[in-house]
Amino acid sequence: MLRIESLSTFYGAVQALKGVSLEVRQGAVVSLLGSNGAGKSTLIRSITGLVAPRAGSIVFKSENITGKSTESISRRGIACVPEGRHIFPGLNVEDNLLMGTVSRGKLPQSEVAENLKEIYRIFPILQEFKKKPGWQLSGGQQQMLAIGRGLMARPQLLLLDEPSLGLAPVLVQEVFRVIRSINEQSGTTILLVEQNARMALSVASRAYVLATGQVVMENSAEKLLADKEMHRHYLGGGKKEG
Amino acid sequence: MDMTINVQLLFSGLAMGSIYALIALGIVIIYRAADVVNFAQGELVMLPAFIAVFLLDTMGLPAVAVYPLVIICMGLVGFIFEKVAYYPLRNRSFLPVIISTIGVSIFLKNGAQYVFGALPQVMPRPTDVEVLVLGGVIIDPQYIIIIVSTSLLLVAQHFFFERTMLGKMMQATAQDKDAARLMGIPIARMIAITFIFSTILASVAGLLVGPLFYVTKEMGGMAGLKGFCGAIIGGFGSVTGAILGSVFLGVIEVYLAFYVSSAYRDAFAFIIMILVLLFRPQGILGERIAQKA
Amino acid sequence: MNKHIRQWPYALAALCVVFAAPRFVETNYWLNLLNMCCVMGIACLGLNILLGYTGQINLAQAAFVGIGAYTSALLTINFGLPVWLGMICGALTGGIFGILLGIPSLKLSGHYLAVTTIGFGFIVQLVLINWIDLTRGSDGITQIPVFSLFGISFDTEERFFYFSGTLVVLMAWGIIRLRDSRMGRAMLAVRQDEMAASTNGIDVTRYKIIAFTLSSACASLAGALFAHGGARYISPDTFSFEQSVLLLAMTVLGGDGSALGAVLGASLLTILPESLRFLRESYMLIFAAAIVLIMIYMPGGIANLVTHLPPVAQWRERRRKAAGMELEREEESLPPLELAPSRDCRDGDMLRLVGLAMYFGGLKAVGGVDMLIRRGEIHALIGPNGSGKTTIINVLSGLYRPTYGSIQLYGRELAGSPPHDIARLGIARTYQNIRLFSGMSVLENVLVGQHTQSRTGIIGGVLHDPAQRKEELSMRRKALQMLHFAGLQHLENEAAGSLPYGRQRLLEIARALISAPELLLLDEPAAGLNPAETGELRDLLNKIQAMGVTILLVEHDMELVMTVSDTITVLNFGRKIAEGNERQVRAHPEVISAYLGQEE
Repeated sequence: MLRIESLSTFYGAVQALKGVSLEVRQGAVVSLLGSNGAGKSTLIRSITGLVAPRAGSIVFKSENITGKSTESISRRGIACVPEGRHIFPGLNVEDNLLMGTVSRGKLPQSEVAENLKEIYRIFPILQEFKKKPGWQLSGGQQQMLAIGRGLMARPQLLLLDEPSLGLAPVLVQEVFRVIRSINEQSGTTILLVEQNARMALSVASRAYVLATGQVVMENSAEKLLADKEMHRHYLGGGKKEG
Repeated sequence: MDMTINVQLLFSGLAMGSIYALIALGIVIIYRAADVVNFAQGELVMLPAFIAVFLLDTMGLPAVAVYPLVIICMGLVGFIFEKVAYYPLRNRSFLPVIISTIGVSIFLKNGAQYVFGALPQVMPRPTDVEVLVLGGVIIDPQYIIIIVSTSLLLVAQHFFFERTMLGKMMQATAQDKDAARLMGIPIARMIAITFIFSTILASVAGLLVGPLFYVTKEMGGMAGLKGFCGAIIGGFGSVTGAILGSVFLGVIEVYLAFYVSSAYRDAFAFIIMILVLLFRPQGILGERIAQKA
Repeated sequence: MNKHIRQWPYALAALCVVFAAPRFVETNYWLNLLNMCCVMGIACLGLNILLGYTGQINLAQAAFVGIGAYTSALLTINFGLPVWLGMICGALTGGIFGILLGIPSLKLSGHYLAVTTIGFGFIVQLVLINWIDLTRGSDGITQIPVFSLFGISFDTEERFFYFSGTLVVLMAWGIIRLRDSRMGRAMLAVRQDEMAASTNGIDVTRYKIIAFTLSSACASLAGALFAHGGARYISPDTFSFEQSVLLLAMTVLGGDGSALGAVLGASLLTILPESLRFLRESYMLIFAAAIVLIMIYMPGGIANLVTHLPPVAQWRERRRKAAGMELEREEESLPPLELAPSRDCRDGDMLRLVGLAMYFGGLKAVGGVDMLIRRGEIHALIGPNGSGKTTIINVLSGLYRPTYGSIQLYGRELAGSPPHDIARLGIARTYQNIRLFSGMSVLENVLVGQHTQSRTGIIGGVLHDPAQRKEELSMRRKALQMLHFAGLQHLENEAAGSLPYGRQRLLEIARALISAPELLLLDEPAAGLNPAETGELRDLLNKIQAMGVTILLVEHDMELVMTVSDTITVLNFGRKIAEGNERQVRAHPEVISAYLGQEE
């Protein structure tokens, strides 16, 4: 469904991605792991067109979308739940969700109502707060809202950028439960960016590990979980010399 | 006696405050959408007044046709303004944009003089009623027209922003551009619409205030700055703050001019604004964290 | 910047031009115009200090011109002061009002500052119109005394031009020199990055006020010049908001921070409208359109245009190369760097955090952390994203005032002190996202790093007196040694922003290190580095430690952390979850679950 080939992205003189290639198959949950600054968010920003890659290609459903505008990419069926949630703070919960439907063009009222009902079924808390402005929600609720907003787009591919960031452990569990059920129930393909490797691997079928802008490992989730190398990437190795 | 004067001052203050509010609102919505302060907003008040006088007097068109026509023209001006003074500079710091909008303001002032002449002109009033007497208080009917039309317009714009999909998309663009893009909202178009909308607000102000004073190329400059002051006094960035701050400024200015000094009338707005900025920079209302978060 | 490039021959040549010009310009009309260029030029030179060097906006410069004009005119008429004394008083009064206007600039920036200065300008104009007893109202003041000095009366346009032209040349010279002094560099640093300037020991408040004062004094001097020359008549409408806009446009047209550009811009926009007068009514239209077009198409102004002309560019390139060669020679003759942290008598407990907590609104970023950093160690601070590491660095460097708790450097409380004081006490830092003064050269960045260890003021900066030169020379020596130490030799004249990423990281460390700090705070120095560069960084950290500088290292590269650190503190959700040496931390169960996620 999504195929990225030797993608390179720069911020000014800094090369954030150095020839990254990866593939996401229809209906799969794929995780993208790596520590801070490894280039995970840059990859997401490149896919959604918020930054323009300098080399390489991004192909979505056999169409090259490299360098297309963010608006047009979202209309092709890629929704993104950005890092740091980025809900619209001044709009209320329901209006935030409505914004998620913009990429689908004009819709009949009944269909929108139907979609809202579905989201409220997944996240009952959002229905309770539907008239509250976004900024009054807690971090966890904002995360729910951001995911709900992404789902309102009925995407074929959902990009989730660090959904567990800054959430308490109980909420992290909850978020991952939702991610799993989204994939299982609607068959939505998901690309999940995470620092929390154990959690991410528990829902994914396949995973890539990024370090300093390059893919350093890729394998099925179970194999990576068992891999000692993973441990080293996260906690380092070696001894103090001198 | 004293009471009637105070009531008269109040009406005149509310009317001026309404004008400032329309200007302030235009400045604030552009600021929120594009992060730019438009120092030419006052000239977008002056220009429609000139066009209206031209259409009414020289062309002899009826008022019902003139008002919509002027607003359509000004919508077009707003569109061109965005393409010329903002769009090419959208990625630069605030200084070139400030100077560019001030350049446009000088251009519009002198353009109006070039096209319509240097003489002050009189804009016909929409009603023949000379004065209204309410319980012994004599009031200019134009004040009532200003206050009522502004209130209606504010209600309408509130409805537009809160209830329509386009309004919500414009709000979303103002609050978080990247997120708006991710939703598929065409933000460049949203910003252009915001400029047009803001210009229309200013032109309504121009049509309303025109009959009160002479129509000159200088009529908008000070009003534009005072609208900015009003927005800051209310809490810059907030729509409600802009309206309340401007009305407050309009009323207090009239009283200060009457009781303290009419010569320094134009100084009061700035003095109040500087005091607010130094001692309560979030404005009287306090900028809600959400608005710029 | 370079001692062998002398500026006085250029100034002398400019003076010759001034004295020759009246021979070629014969009509009084043109001489009068030249005098106006001088007046505007001096006002713009002031704005150049404020806007070009320090990055502050002022849309009331014409009001300061007015203040100077009225002060000098009234003092000479009412009290019979000699004109030269009146002019000095005018400039001083303008400077005092400049301090007044500078105060809001401490709290405000951007649009708010712009509109505040607009308001100030209108208030000044209203006072000039309405305080009739003092200012004679909107009729203005006529028959202002002629300027005379040493018995020579400058009563014709020609004679007056000799004076005003000389003044412009001397002031431009001084202001160009100011840029290459400790003060000028501090101003530029404030403009480029206030936060980085403050953590390098620059009192941002002070420099903004100084810039406002100097700028206003220049404008008022220009005003006094205007009052006593030409028509010797002033009225309030000359000192309008439009005139302030024009002065700003002149300065911006001239070029970013270029004093010569400011004078050229002023001259161009003084002469241009005059030569457009034949267009009658439409000339202001064209003029306004020109301003908008200049903003769009000439972002760098005239100065930028001129420096990119092929011959000028070649000349500058040659000059740059020659300076670079000389720097290299000088560098090779210097002994290796020795930092002098001569505080060896202190005991081992250097910095102590007690119950440090930082809340943003209701959000807890750091909640009660105790920590001890010992003298001479490399102490790492690690933890997952959002665990509060950078917040602690920001609190330590004074950017945030902690909500609770205390920070003691050798027992001295630091909590609540401003960043420049903390820098002065010996805490230097780098930033996660690199905050170099990217428009300044590599050498200048390291010179700014020595701000706390030098003392030259404005007068020294303008005059380049022997004391200043001596200090400048020793700072330069030390800067070269430092660049050599950090592996940045031969890059001295490059713009800091044009260096490759890895070099920028090293430069930022060099800039922090040159203040010979007790404690060096490094916020993710390895982020974005490739393995080879990370290796260099590791060596550098060890070398720094060997020099006796203590390091607090925030880093995600565990390999690096584990190999260089003596002590490691692990944070999660703003709390300390583990502390100890590399082995203890790596085996700690809470650390493992914080990094890899909880076992299910």
